[in-house]
Amino acid sequence: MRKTYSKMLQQSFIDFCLRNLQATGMDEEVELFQPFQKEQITLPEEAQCMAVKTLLHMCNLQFALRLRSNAEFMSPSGGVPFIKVGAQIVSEFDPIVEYLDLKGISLSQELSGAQRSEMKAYMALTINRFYNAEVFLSWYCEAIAEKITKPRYGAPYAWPLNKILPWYKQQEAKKYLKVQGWLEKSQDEVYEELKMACKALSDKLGDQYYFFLDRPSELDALVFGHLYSLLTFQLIDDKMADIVNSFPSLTRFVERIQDTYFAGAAAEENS
Amino acid sequence: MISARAKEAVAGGRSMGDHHVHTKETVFDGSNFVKVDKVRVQGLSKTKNDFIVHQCKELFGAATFKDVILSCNDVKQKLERAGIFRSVSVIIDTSKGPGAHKDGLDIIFNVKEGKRLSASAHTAVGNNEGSLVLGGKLANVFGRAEMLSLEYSRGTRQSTGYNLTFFKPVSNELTRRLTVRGFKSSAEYLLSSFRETGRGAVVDYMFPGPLGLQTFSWEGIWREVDCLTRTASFPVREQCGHSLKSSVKHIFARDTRDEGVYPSRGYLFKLVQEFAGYTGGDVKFVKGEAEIQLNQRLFSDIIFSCHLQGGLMKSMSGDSVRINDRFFLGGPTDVREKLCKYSNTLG
Repeated sequence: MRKTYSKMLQQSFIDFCLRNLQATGMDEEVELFQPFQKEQITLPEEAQCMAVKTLLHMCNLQFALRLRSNAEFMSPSGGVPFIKVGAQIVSEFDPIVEYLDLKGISLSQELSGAQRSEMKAYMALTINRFYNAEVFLSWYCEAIAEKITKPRYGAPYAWPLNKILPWYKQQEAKKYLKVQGWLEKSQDEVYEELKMACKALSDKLGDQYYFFLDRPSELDALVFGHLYSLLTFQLIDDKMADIVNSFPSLTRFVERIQDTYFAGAAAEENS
Repeated sequence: MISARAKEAVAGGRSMGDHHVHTKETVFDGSNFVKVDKVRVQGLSKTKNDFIVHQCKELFGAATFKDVILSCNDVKQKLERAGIFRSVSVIIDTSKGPGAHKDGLDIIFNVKEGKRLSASAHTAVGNNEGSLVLGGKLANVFGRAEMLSLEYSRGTRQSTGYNLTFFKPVSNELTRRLTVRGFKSSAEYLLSSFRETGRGAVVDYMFPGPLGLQTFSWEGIWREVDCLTRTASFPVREQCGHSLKSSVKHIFARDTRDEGVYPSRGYLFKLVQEFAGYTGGDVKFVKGEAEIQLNQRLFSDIIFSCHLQGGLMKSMSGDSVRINDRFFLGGPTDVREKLCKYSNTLG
């Protein structure tokens, strides 16, 4: 009797330790805030939200998805998405990666210094090319901006705010593109940029499952977020999807990650 | 302001047929019957005729000399209140010339029109910041006491605001006021760490009712709430963003106080009803507020004053009422919301 009792005690102590180990620093609920997926979110926002969601899935972190029409204005940096852990709020991809790193959760722990800087370089490339192209296509191409982006962005508001706020946002986007030096580019040049970025990533990926080693890194999350959005986001034509589709290794990569991390979540995402 | 000469003239006129001894005994109480023959307003250039005629109408109804003096005073006050004259003086004279009645009077108003365009610059401290206010005013725009004013303010905390107001008396009646206003303003709520920026338009019509002043107004305001600091509490953060309020408001006020700021007697009773969201916009609520202020002089300069204010509001859409529509603790002139869900800084 006594023996079994002490055994039980031992077992519960082990359980306790294990539980603590699993919850490395993240003992509070993680909430992810983003705009409404179906009728509000715009392409660049969608890509960024997708990247962060993938990152959290890859880190095996459970999170609650909170859809808010004012997510952009709630975010301290003005960018979506942001995560809330307890009282802490961290917005956008890079700061979230850093925050998770501080909490002891990192996907790139096992990479060597050289690999890590290579990853950073590829991440910068992805951000520059993909994000700029997304902003350019959704806000600067008049046809897409008028038909898709502006109505979506203004969706939560009443007239005349649903006209003023998208217009204002468009001006901001143009300012951003001007600083980036993308305003002089033509639409075809932007598609060319996209193609080049895809080519660089496709070359790096080759036949591997992931970009580095045999496990996902932050780069995988970021690239998946952008590629998945480029493939699935409905714009007036399928030009973007066609470009991505011309790189079979990338489409395979997207399918793989989608199957691994979003198989169960797909239904939840669309709700 | 009534010239002594006129008084003498009238008094003299009455006692014309009597003996001098009698005049000395008669006490002049102004109850002698007179008739106003002519009213002349001198010094008008931009002001339209019909506006002045409307203000002077009551003079012709005066039957006794006392009435004339009283209504002269009334008219003079009205003209001064119109805010378009620098000075107004009155002369009452006996009527002369062909067609003049025996007891006829001529009333002459000497007015000096003020400058049409004026500008001002001043500084103001309040709202947790100091600000510089530049203003321009265009008085008597169309000659019927309309006023157009523009104010621009810039604060030390980078806030800018402007205010364009057009005011017009309705059918030349100075107590019926139609005001159209467009503005941008911002207010910081340091305790709750948010800032509200509002841009909008207000149209209101104020007129005297049988019991007190009635105001009907419509306002359409685009409001933006943003957090002042990164450490703002999450319930405040959740309120950030844009909203559009379109509301119809009715205000009833009965005010018998002698002064608005430091009254020494009288009372104020005010009722405000606001219906937001029925004319557009994305906030929908019904709000009612009541205010009572009583003032009583006890002795010497000691005044007993009591002020009670309360309000009730209900959101008519499914969402809770937005932070910028709520009642706030704001000192003696504002209300604190009860039954508040949020802790410390909100409400």
